[in-house]
Amino acid sequence: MNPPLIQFQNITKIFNKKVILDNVNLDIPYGEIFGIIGKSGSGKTTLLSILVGFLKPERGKVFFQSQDLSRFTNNIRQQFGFTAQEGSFYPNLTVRENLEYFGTMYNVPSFILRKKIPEILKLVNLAESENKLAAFLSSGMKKRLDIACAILHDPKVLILDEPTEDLDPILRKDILRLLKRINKEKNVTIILTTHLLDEIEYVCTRVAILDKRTVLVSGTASDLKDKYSKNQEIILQTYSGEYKWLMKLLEKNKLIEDMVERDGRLIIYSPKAEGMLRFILHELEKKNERVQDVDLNKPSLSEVFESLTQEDE
Amino acid sequence: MNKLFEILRKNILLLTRSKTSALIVLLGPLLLILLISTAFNTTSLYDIKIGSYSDEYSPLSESIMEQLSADEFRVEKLSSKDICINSIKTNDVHVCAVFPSGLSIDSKENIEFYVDTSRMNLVYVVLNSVSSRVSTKSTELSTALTSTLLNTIESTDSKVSEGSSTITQVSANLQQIKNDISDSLSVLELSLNASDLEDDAVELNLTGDAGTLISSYQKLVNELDESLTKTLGAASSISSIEAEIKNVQVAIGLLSEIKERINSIEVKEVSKIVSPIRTEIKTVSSEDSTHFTYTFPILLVIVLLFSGLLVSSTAVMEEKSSKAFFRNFITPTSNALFVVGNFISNLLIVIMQILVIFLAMYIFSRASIPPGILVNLVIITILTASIFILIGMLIGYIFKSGETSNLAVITIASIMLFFSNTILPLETLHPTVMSVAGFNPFILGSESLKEILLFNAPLSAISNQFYILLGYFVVLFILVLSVRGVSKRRYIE
Repeated sequence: MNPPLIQFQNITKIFNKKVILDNVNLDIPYGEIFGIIGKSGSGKTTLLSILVGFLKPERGKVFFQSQDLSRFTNNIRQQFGFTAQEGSFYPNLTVRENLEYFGTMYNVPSFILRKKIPEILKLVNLAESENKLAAFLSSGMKKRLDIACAILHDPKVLILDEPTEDLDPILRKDILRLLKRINKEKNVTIILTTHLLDEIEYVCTRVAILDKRTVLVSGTASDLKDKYSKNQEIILQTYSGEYKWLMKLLEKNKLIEDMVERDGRLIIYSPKAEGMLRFILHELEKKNERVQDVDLNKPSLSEVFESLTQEDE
Repeated sequence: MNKLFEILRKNILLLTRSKTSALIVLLGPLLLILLISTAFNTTSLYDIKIGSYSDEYSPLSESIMEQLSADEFRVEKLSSKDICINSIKTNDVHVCAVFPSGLSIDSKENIEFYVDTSRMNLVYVVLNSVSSRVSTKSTELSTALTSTLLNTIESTDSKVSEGSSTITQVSANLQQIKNDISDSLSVLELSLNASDLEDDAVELNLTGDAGTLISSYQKLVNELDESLTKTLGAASSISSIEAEIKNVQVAIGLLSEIKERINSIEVKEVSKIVSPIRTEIKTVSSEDSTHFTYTFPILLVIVLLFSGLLVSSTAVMEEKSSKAFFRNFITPTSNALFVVGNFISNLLIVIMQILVIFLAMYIFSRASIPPGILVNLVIITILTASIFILIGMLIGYIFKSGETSNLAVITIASIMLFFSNTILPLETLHPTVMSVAGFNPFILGSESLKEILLFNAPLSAISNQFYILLGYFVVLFILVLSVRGVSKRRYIE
């Protein structure tokens, strides 16, 4: 088995006597799109800052390709690309000027930069805006410029802190597609944090859940769902669309974790979903309610996350 | 090097993209120098108001007031002494002159000048100026009086000379008369014996006419003898003439002594008697220097101080608050390179301002810099600017917000300005404070520039200031490097 690309070993970080990360252990394999999920203030950004050498942990070590990051920070920095929650570029420089500046700061020789910049601009779909001041770009374009600044020096790892924060759903999808493309075309390992769990499911091949100052679990989204969800979800749609009587009937049932009526459907969460579905279908038959659609799903990552973090509380 | 160039390029681009910043950088010093060169390009004082009061103005007091108003002062007669004094407090007048009633040269009372010493920067200049005008008037009067006195002495001298020669002549004449009389008397010293003649006449038995003749002759001889006896008696008066001649000679001696004393007065020029010790104030700088020339070194350092501190602290604050700050930190670029890059960018901006100032100085006051001092001037100017820039950068890295950073800049600039010769002479400070203030970079810079600009001093003449400034530069640079590292941590927190 290949060693992980990045290894966090017993990382502890304290700010003003407050423990932000406590004994964090995490392995990130090569070539993955790795998502770190956590509530606000759970230490996601701190963990990434330690990874890029911006912060030093009080205890523990971070290894990159088995090299201790604290010893080789400057050389290894070159291997990382980073985008923070807010774009890290100069609004009063043009797109090209920003790329030229950060490319130089990342030790990219100017003759390579001249070739590289059009290529990157094309990749992030900013070729037509290269002479625009960054301040005048749209939100999505700014995020793409930020990513362009982060990958200009061909890093092995691209780290993104909340990359789709403040973007509308279409732009989010756009950015996520771009990340997949970068991962595929440039063979870059991508680590991203978010609290939008749908995105994680859409883009990430592996996930870690960070809560209470430490990593609770990590693995593929599917594994986590299988392993950690208590409930499955039953999505029921009847022709009448009338669910009140059914909800009243089920509300005292101990096998029902939660129920919600949404868009003419009833979504029911239950740890014994198959048995519960049989019971519901039986009750519907007794009431002569015709079923239009019924579905039994594995839990969403969101549900896994909720289950794990609530359990911990 | 490539990175350094790119940092400089980025900083200059950011500056030029911000129109207001670029405008302030270029127009700020231009405006400052324009205003100051126009205002200070003179050697005079303007609009100095003197209030005056006297119970009774005399021609002398009027003439003093005329003398004052003939120059740059505006003299206003006030109705009472209290009003005059209070007018100073309300700043309606700068000096209150109270003339004694019916002031004349015989007056024993003084002219009183009341001033507001709280206006320390003005009071001595005004007093000096007023005193010099009054002193001029006083000298004029003194000259006139002395001149009259000297004329009288001179006239006495000539009269004494004239009288002395007359008396000498009289003495000589008397001597001559005395001599003539003595000579005549000696001639008259003969014996006339008429009795022998009578005896002969008897012997010869001369009778008749001969006898009568002899008798007449004898009678004549007797009369002559009597007259001679009388004349010889008058000869005793010659001794009196001699005594008188002696008296005349004593008088001649006295007159000679008077004349000698008059002649022994060596200084007979009025101006020398009025002010026997003459002083002449000569400036060590150029004669045609104006307030602007003198203030230029300080003005230059003030511009360096404010622009250096503000430009660099603002640039650091903008860098810190910039979204790109984080990416700069994580790039494999050393702290030192960013510090050097930002320092050089700020220095370029300040140098641009200095060039604008020198250009404006040349345009507005036609003042040029001798080529001989150019290198020294550049070295000290850049060194001084560098220190202010590094202090500004330090402030920028230490303080968290633009507001606190600006407050710190104003505070530090004020401290430097107050503890310099700009507002009050350093000599007015407590000796301990004065010795500490001597290390103020503002003073070191302005004094060095003054010596270079006004006295064409070589670098060796200001080596002390130069090495202290250099020391500041090194220490501040190390501090900025360290504080930037710390500020990274604070940024994260």
